[in-house]
Amino acid sequence: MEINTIMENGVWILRLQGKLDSFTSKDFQEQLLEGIAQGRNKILLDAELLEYVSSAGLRIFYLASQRLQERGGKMVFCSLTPHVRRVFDIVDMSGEFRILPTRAEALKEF
Amino acid sequence: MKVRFWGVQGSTPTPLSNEQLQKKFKGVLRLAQDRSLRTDQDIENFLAELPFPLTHTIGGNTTCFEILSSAGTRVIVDMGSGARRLGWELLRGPAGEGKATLPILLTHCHWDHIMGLPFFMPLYVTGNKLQIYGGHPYLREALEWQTHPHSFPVRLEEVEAELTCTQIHEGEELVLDDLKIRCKSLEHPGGSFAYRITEGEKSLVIATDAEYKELDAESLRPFVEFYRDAEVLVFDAQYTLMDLFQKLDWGHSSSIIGVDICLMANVAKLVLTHHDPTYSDEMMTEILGRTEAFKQETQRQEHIHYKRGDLEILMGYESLEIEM
Repeated sequence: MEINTIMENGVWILRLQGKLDSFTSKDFQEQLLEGIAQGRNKILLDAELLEYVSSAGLRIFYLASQRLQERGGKMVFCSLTPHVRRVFDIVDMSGEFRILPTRAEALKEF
Repeated sequence: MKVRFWGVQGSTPTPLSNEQLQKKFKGVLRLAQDRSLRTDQDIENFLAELPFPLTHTIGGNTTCFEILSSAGTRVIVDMGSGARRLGWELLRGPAGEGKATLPILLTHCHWDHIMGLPFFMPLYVTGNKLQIYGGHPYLREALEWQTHPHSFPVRLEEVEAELTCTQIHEGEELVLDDLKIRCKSLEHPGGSFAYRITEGEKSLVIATDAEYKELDAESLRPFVEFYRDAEVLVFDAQYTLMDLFQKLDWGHSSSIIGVDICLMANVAKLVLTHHDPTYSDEMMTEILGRTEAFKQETQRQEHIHYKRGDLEILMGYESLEIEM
């Protein structure tokens, strides 16, 4: 899994590419939670190239969202692939997050 | 080898309420309105068509499983309230004449896993031998505690059967005739143990009361290796995934995590157990549907290499029997 990050107007954008499963989740968790600990409280997860997510990935999304809420921050998703969208719907997670169709629309959320 | 489910409820016994029963009746009658049900066979056929929650209940008893080898060796796992009915059933055999030796594995000594012992009738028949095994060092103390005169009229030392308690350890193998048993510690408040019960080449793993605090491959590896290639994994699926995420450190898991673990460990059948007492039969049916959907969504990914073909997922309910 590859994670490309950029800052845009104070929003930390993480572009996720590949498979987020138990084999890749540790590095992603460390990077995401470390960013939150360092004070990044506007986070956009661009999942346009995220091919697959397992329960390990879902847990990180939830954990990061909780940490951000505690700090008054915000996490938004954009461009979910059909697979990731279906998984979110199946586990009843879609309602937990703000999910926008495109990055441009997601950036307006901050 | 086969396993029978006598209790699958988590935390506390949860009998079906009158309101829940009436809801089932109404559901059945609604569907029967336009049907011609003149014979017993018509009724049987009609009932067979109905969805699970209208004709069944998951059952309100707490954890108790009975394992029978093909040679007839019997092992019981946990003495939740489901053990009461099992005890009456066993009285019809040698246990009714005081001629039974009954090995019992305890996953741990939380109340919902031992509360059936004082109501387990073979305990009160002279000549029976109850052999309790478990990973905890305080098995006898915990069982004596719940039959203290403050809580129960018969002390454990007064029962007619001979009762022994033996601690077993990870890495050791307990051999009971044709069954080989190993244990593995699980994350749970106070600790819990999974049991891998093997007859010949086939294994059943019972892993109830377990939390998987980290889901990365390295953290899961000890569990995946213990469950590897099992025919059946009876898995703590107390919460939906979203409920689980809000209950960190409560010591339980979710069916969605069970699917990922089974696919990693090449397990043939995933059986969900230790259901949350606040979840209804209808909700359990919905959970099974969502778990099935998650499995299908996962299995159709090209990189998922699951040698068994299709993971079978079953909802654990009282009277379920699985042959291996």
